[in-house]
Amino acid sequence: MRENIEHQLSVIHDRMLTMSNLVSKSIDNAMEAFVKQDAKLATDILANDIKINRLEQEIEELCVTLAATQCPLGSDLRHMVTILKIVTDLERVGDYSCNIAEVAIEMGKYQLIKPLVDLPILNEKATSMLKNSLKAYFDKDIDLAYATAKLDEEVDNLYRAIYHELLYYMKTKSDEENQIIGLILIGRYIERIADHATNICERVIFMETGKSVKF
Amino acid sequence: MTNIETNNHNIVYDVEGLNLWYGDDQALKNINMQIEKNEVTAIIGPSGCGKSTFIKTLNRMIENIPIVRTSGEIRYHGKNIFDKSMRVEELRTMVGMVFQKPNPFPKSIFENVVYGPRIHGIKDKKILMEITESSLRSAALWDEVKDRLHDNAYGLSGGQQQRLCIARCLAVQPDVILMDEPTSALDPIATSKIEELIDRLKEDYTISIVTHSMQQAARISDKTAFFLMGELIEFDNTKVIFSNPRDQRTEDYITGRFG
Repeated sequence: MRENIEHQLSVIHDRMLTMSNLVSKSIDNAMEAFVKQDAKLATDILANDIKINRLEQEIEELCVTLAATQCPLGSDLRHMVTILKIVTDLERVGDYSCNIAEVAIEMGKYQLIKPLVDLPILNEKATSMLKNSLKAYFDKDIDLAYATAKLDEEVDNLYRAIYHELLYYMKTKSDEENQIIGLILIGRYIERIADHATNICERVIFMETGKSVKF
Repeated sequence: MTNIETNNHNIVYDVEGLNLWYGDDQALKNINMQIEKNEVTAIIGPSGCGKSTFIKTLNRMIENIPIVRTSGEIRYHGKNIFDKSMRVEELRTMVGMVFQKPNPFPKSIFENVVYGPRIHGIKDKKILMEITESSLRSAALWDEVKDRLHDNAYGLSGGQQQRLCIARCLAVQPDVILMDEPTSALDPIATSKIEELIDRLKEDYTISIVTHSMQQAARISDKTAFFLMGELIEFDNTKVIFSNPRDQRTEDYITGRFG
């Protein structure tokens, strides 16, 4: 009697996998485009985002069908609610990748004021959080969700340090303000990606335990 | 098993260590639960789990089956219903019942409603008319039948017949209404009318309802009890039972893994 609901959930699961891979690729490419100042790669990211948005819509529709036809309860209900929340987080991360790509296209025009050191580290922390939060979702691993969410503080601290450093440059290298604003924005987008990864961890804990936690 | 903190003043039924046998077969095993005033308590579980047996025990209707034996206590407002001093007729007046299939008497709508009050000795036509109107209004049927009170009840639709049975039950001013799958023979519109009615009735009555529809239990009840093979597996606030039950057997049942 669970065949229908299992089938519908497995279809949604496949779409979630595809969407997660696309979003992860998108953020990786966005950073690569920025670091290598590759405008062509940055443009590809914007095209990729259309696919991400379409998947979000598709998964939402599948969840509405699931709710209407299967009336999920208990763990099925929590799973469905979690999916609906996670796709919103993923879609936002896709948008941030686009934002980074847009800044990267703009930055291609400039000679960087300093070698990139901290922003790639920030990015590595945030993307690893994102990937682990998704792994926690797919593996239903609450320990990983808790451990991953904990890392958000490190990202926040590093972002704050980068921000203050860039503010200092703003005063000392005021003719480079466009570039500096671009770098601050990229830092901010990466920091927000880590926030969404934290949200995903919270959703995984809810899905598995029914407890609403806030990190 | 139960995770509910109850306010002692509001307890209508306090069931303690209830066991019930049909001959040698034990149908209820050590049931402990409390039913609170002005709440809707849903009883769910697969066929044969003892849920109908349980609510029929609450007004000792179950004793109509001769081979039934019970042990344990059911305290109704503090008084054990199995006590010798408890008068069954009085208990059943206070604790009305509505069944799966509407079962109006082959009489007029009016006669159906006043059947109980008449048995209780009320003869005054004016009073009987008042009871009819107020009971039918409470059962959300008055507007549909006020112009044909003397028509035969069998001429009503299934949903109307069921509301008539509820009105008949209300006419003797009960305290508790037990409902045994009251909408399983009704279409969705009639079902939704009964559900709305239940929601209104709980302001004045305490309701316990057996239902096979988990969505119905989720929609209308405050608390839900899950029975399995004669045991009360879990009793909790309805939202907990359907979103995050504590017992794996409840989870398996509500997600359709068995049953």
